[in-house]
Amino acid sequence: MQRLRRSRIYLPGNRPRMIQKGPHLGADAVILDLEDSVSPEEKDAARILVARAIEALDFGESEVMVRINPIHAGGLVDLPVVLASGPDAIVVPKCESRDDVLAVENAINQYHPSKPVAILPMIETAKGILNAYEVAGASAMVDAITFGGEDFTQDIGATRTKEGKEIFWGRSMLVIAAKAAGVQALDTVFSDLKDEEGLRRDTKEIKEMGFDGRAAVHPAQIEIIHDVFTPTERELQQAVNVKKAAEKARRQGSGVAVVNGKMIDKPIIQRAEKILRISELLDMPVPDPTV
Amino acid sequence: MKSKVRSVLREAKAGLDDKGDLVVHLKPAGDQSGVQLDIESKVMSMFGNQIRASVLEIIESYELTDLYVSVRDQGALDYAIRARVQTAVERAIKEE
Repeated sequence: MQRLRRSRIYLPGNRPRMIQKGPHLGADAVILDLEDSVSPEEKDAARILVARAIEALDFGESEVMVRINPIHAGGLVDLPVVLASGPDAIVVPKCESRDDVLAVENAINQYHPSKPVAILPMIETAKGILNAYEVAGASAMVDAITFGGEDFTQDIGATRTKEGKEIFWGRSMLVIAAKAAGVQALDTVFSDLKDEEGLRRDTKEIKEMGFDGRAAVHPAQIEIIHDVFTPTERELQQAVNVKKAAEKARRQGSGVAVVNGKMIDKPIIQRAEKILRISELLDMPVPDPTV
Repeated sequence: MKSKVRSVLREAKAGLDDKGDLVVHLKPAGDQSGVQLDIESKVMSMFGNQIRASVLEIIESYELTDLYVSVRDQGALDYAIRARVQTAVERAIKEE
């Protein structure tokens, strides 16, 4: 079963004080960042600090991800140091091709990490979006692809707006590529830290588009993101009812199930199963069916 | 990458002037002078021995001696102390 990745929070990889907050934030994943938040002259220091932090700190239920530098700009130097420490996932920025993913897969195979490591390519250029399906399917180690909205906007020469029309097509392409390849689609950050309603509205929209989670740039954003991506009691009740009706129809040899007067078909059953999977990962109490 | 040099090749620093961090400063010293360690820390009375042990353990893992080591600690955890000393050593022994 894929991991729950409603929220991923970025922590600067060269700041011990920030890294140490990671275990207490309640995010589904922490991303220890070696890329944008670290100056070029401190890359060596951050690499060592992040590796030792992963070895020493208990991040609890949070998945520990490391965002390395782009594969042709320091990423291959980061990998041996970082992999030896035992991260859960490697986030690969500026990923544009199958070869970028395979370079990371080769490094993982070469350095024999002590546990399985997932590869999460970040798609944040026009070329990356056009190759997103190829990237998503490049390796069995890829189990999610992620969108980098800020860099993508710059790459296509657009202006970043709160409404996000300039990234709508890129987001849609990324979701379709991810789902076609059978991996999760994870969205970009919402940069306006003060606009909680904007974050909630934007997160609802990306959930409706098919995303499985998004990145946070501040701890205060995590609760809102979780709120949107966690099934409501009503959704959970509906999912339980759909599952029961589908099982009953199957037992009776009928291809058609009905809940509350509405026909239940395969996509609705699959959606219910997804909600039940998420509720299981969150240990949510499952109600009895009411149909 | 660890090296078998006996002292550091040059002066080097690592770490940031920030809470929870420390600044490590290494300098080559004269022959047979050993490791001369100077630590300043707000938590010196409680954790001084532990800080000293961690710093020396990293330096010894590189088989280094004959150097000055200055540590200005602002309450760093053990992993950060080890990371900053390691970074300073790597910078100080790197062949240019």
